[in-house]
Amino acid sequence: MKQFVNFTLIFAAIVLLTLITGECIISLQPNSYRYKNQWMNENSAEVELLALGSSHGYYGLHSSTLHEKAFNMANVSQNFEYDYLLLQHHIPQLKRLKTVVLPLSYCSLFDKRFEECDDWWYAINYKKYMDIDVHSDYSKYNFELSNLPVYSGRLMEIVSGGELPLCDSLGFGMGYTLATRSATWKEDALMTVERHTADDWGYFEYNFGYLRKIAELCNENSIDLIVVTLPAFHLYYDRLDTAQLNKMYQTVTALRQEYEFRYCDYLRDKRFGEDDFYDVDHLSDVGARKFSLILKDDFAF
Amino acid sequence: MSFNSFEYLLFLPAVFLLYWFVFKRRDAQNVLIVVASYIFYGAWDWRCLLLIALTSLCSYASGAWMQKFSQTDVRRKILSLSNILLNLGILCYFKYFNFFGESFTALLNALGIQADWVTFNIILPVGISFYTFQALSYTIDVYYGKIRPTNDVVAFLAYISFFPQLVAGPIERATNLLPQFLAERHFDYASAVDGMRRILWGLFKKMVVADNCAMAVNAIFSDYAQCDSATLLLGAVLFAFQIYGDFSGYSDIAIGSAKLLGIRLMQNFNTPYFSRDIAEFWRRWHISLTTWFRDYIYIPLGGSRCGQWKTLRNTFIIFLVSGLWHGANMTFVCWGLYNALLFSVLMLLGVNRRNVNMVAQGRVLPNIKELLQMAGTFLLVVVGWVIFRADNISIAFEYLHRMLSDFSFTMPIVGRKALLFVLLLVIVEWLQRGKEHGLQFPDNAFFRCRGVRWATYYLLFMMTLLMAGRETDFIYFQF
Repeated sequence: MKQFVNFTLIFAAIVLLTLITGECIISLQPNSYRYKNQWMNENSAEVELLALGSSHGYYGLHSSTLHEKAFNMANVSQNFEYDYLLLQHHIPQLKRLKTVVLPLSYCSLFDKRFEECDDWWYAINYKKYMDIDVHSDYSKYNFELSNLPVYSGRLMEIVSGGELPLCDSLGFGMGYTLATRSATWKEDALMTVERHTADDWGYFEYNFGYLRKIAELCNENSIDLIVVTLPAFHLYYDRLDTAQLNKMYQTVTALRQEYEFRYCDYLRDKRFGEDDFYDVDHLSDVGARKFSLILKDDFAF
Repeated sequence: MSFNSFEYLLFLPAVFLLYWFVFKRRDAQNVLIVVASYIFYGAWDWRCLLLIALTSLCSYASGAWMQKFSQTDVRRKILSLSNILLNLGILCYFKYFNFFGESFTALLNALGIQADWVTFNIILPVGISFYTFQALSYTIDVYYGKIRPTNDVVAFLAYISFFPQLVAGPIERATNLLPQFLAERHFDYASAVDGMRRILWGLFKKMVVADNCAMAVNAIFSDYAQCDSATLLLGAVLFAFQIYGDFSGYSDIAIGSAKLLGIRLMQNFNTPYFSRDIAEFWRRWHISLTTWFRDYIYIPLGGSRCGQWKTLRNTFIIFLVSGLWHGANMTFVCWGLYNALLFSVLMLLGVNRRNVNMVAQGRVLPNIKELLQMAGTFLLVVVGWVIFRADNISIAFEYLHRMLSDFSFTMPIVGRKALLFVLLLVIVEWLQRGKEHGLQFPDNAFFRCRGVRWATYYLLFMMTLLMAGRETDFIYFQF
């Protein structure tokens, strides 16, 4: 029996060693989270405009078009909680920050917390690469290994020499081009709306709480907060749930009575055609540049 | 707690170490098994523990009581029948109450009688069909005097609740499993190593083959109306491998886990997709259930020794019950009847026991005839799986209609990765047919080298970890 236990332990040690090696390889690879954190640590004193938000902001706010001293800190699936945590984390160094652009999407006020849904592993990126210490060093949020499918996907990308999704030098998300757009991008409209429409509004207070905190933080530091709803394709906005959409508008209106910030809704903006979209709710790189230019003119950055 | 969960990765070694290093005596080991099994089962829903305890204690008590009466005493019959009815009553209530109620109401409404049915929100305890059948097996065997009733309540509780096979089988007979809990167990190195190999092979089948197939199958079945016939055929074929990888993978992990504790469970699958006819398929698929039906329903009804029509009737009865056993849905009933029909044809022709040996015995490859027989049988099985998988009967027929008409071959977009894993599984299983599992290495110089064996384990383990599909529950938990 001793031999059996010993052999099992040796085998387990070999497997563990392999997995740890994989963890180290992934951790050392460049990724947009690590890059953004590093960039901010080195250059935050120069930043005058900061873009936050989820994938809508990541792929929709083209930093260099918006402002010559702008940086995009948005990330895929980033919610208001992590927008706030990032802003709070960097604000002591953001000496020249004048403007924060914060996208407000149809689902922003209703999304679940990362930690309570299938996307919990996004929190690993903030813990591991962005110095956001809301979770313990011994929690699953400190290891890529905690989510084996994502871990193995990243490892496979590295082994096969494939490109990991990266951002440009100013944090704008690359890859949403017309060349890579799916031929059936319009067919996902209904599914996307269903995914973005909340079954219940149980997370409204949670999201609203962090939106309020962002507004408060900006007001305290005399930063001009600009909340925007980005353009979407008509197949998307035509199907949105009116109650959820109205709740979003009412919330902004109510919050503007409390805090000073500007809000602009581009959801149904007719200036955006098919080529401006990557899918029904995301701008393509062409659309992002166009939108950023419009934003620059409208708010005189 | 599922076999493919992180919790089980900690749970099994903990039980193993306590079992062999701390609880060295038989009685103490049985207590550990019962406690561990109740923790394992309670992790799903602790309320279901009351149900399994009730089933176990009633079956134990009825067995112990039966012992007091002679074989011909009517009270013995009453006791045995009461326990059977109690167990079947519990099973029917939790599994079939709404189904039968709704079906009865639909029938009355079809006859023009206005009727209404109150549907209750009844939870379905995980694995209820499995442990209920195991309890029934004990009661029936005691009644017929095939086994002496046990006075060891802990051993009996261990027999009903033994965690490796508690929620999805193999459905063990009291005659095989109970005596193992009553005897001293000794650690056997070769058996434990084989158990580990079997767990690894089972995890590969479940996490890599079944879960990768599941992603493609779910995509195809949920959007079948938009798919072309080649994609629908691929969806059906992948489902055949999903359910096989899922269920036989579970059985492998169960048998392997039991082996680590010195308990030998029965073989549940024997390369069923290499069958040359439907009768052979049913001798190789879910063996513990089919033999259960054979021994406790088919043979008591007269089996095949009571004339052709009664034999046919008995065949239809066991396939119908088998369909219903899988769940309260007309798709399962139709699936059972479909298989009964295929089986009956072979029976009527008198060729249902033509293929009892392993295919291509002593040869590497099958001959053309065997290949065609296997392909034909597999296609028939696949048609059955479409009925089994569909949400309802009309969807099943529409799916089959679309799949079998206007056939045009286009390479489907989904499921290519899954197909590679299926291919790997088929090759290994073909080479290993006749063996108990895919990692039972041949006794030759190559595999006698420890480095080769360890490299195989390592590759398979890493593949299982890194190429697993999105985690899904074992299909058979719902039954």
